Amino acid sequence: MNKSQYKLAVVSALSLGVLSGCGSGSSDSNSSGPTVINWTQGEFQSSRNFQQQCQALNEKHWLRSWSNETYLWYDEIVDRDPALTDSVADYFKLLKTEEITNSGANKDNFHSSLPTPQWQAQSQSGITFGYGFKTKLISPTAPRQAVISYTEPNSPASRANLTRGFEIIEVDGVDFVNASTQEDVDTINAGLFPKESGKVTSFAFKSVTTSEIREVTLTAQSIATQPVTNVKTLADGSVGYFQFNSHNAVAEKPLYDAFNTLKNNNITDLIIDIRYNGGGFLQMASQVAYMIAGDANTNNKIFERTIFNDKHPVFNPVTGERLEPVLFTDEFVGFAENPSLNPGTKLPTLNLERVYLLTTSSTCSASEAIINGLRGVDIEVIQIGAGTCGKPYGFYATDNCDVTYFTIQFTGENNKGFGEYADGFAPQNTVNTERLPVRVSGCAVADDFTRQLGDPDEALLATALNYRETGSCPIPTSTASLQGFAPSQQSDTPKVIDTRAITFAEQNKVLPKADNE
Amino acid sequence: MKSTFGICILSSTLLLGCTASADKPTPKLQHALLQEPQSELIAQGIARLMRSNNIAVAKDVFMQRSLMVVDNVTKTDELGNPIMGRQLNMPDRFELLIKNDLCFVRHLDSKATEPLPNVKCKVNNK
Repeated sequence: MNKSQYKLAVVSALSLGVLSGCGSGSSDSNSSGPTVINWTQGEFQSSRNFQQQCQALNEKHWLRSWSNETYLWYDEIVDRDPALTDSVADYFKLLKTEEITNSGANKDNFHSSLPTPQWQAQSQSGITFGYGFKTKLISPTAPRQAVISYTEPNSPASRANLTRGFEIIEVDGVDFVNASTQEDVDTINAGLFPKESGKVTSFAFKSVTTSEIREVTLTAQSIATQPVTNVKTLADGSVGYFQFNSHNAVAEKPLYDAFNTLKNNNITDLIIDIRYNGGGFLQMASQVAYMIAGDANTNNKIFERTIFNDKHPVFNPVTGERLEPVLFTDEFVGFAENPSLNPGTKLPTLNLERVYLLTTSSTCSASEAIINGLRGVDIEVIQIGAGTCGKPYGFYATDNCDVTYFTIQFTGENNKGFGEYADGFAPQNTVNTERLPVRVSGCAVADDFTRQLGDPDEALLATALNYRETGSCPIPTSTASLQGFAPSQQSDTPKVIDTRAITFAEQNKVLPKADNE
Repeated sequence: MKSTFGICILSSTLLLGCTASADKPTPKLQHALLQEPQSELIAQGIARLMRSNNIAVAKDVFMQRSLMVVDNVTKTDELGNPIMGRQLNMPDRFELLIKNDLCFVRHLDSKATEPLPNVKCKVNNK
């Protein structure tokens, strides 16, 4: 085994998406020499014939065959001769559907790739590099607006007394709001999205409530994030509330604890704040849904049926396993192997018939699966806030020639066979002509940065509590509050963007207003 | 799984090689804990193991437990949402091991193993 093969093997071993490739004997294909490849429209060789053959034409043919085999909408890809496109990256951009949804948005907004070493640089679950504040980027171009949505305890940000509701004004001496040159925006990106510990950055913030200016210098470090926080009871103890930020591996135990706490408090209603939860492990979403709804509502029912393209009705084309629906999970799985709780331990449940979910456009993927999964078993979901992102899709990260590709490979349907929510879920009274979300009971309310999360007077939480009492939504005080998001302005100035995640392929994303609260 | 298996064999061979070169019987690989926080060296070791860029780990990694879990949930797209927001597979796990006073980090599923020459660890008796 030579060095490059060893490297490939390690990379393969650490990516499920590649594990199946290993099974097919990828190392054998390395031995084949330069290949003359003929392209015939509509005829496809197996992707294995081109796997890890790192010449541009071979890579493009691998992408073509792999997409034909696994892309969810493979039959909507226009088959083009790979030899006629200059680069591998450019060819990959073409290997997606160009269809649009009924609302006019791109059907596929999630087609992307990353250098494999960058993708493989995982994080210890729950650990990020940073300062300990999470920002909501309302407008990435000038005039920019970004507000701290919450801070992590025991972090540089919390030690500097920064809280939700501080707007970024300046980063390392650069005007965050109005910077117009790429050089200045690069400085902002480097400061705002540090790639390693020790990065020192000076910030100026302004409070959205008091207009106080706060100048601080923060040093980036490894931050232990808390996926589940603010577990409490409200309304004389009858309503449970908690903030659920991520379906990451370390969230399982605190979720278990949160539901146990609320169960012991005999709550009769539950509000889960998933406004900044972009998803993660799907099975964890099924655990949350079970802990809300209980055995009687979920027994032997499907939380989500995973569906690949019609070439793979029985077996998962990536893992080779027989396709089995994800049921409502009633036991502790052990994502992070917690020593105090064994896998198989029965989960607590609140046995509720309805749940209130606080959402924004950052509520995505596995979080949306909770909504869809519960609706599939007739649990009433009451949605307060803004429309969700609309991502009923998933993929396996798949490496070829040191690039990891993400192409939509599966979608999910609930117990009723429903899974069409590419425009997200939105409260019933949302006014939004740009998207066609699935309407859900509840109220459209703009995210309220003037109050801390968990504060009963914060607009989303206050609306949920009021809706529970009256069944009515507040009269909108602004277009933003009726839409559930603050309209943003877009300009042709450089974007502030998390360069740690920037992709090779342009994602050609439509940025509807709903995505820019 | 050929490549994964290959790693397993390679790792085992390397470790057995260590054993064979020793003059006296040596203990088997055992789970370990760090003697002092050395998160930078752990992060570098995992990065070498994975042939990847830098890894984010907690300051107290492997101080209380011999196992750590990594996931990609923090990797976000340009809208700030996780790329892998709907993950079907389980997360990757790594363990800290010790043998002959040398510490190793090992990927639990593949058994790919990386020595950590400057790391000070001890047998985990918990």
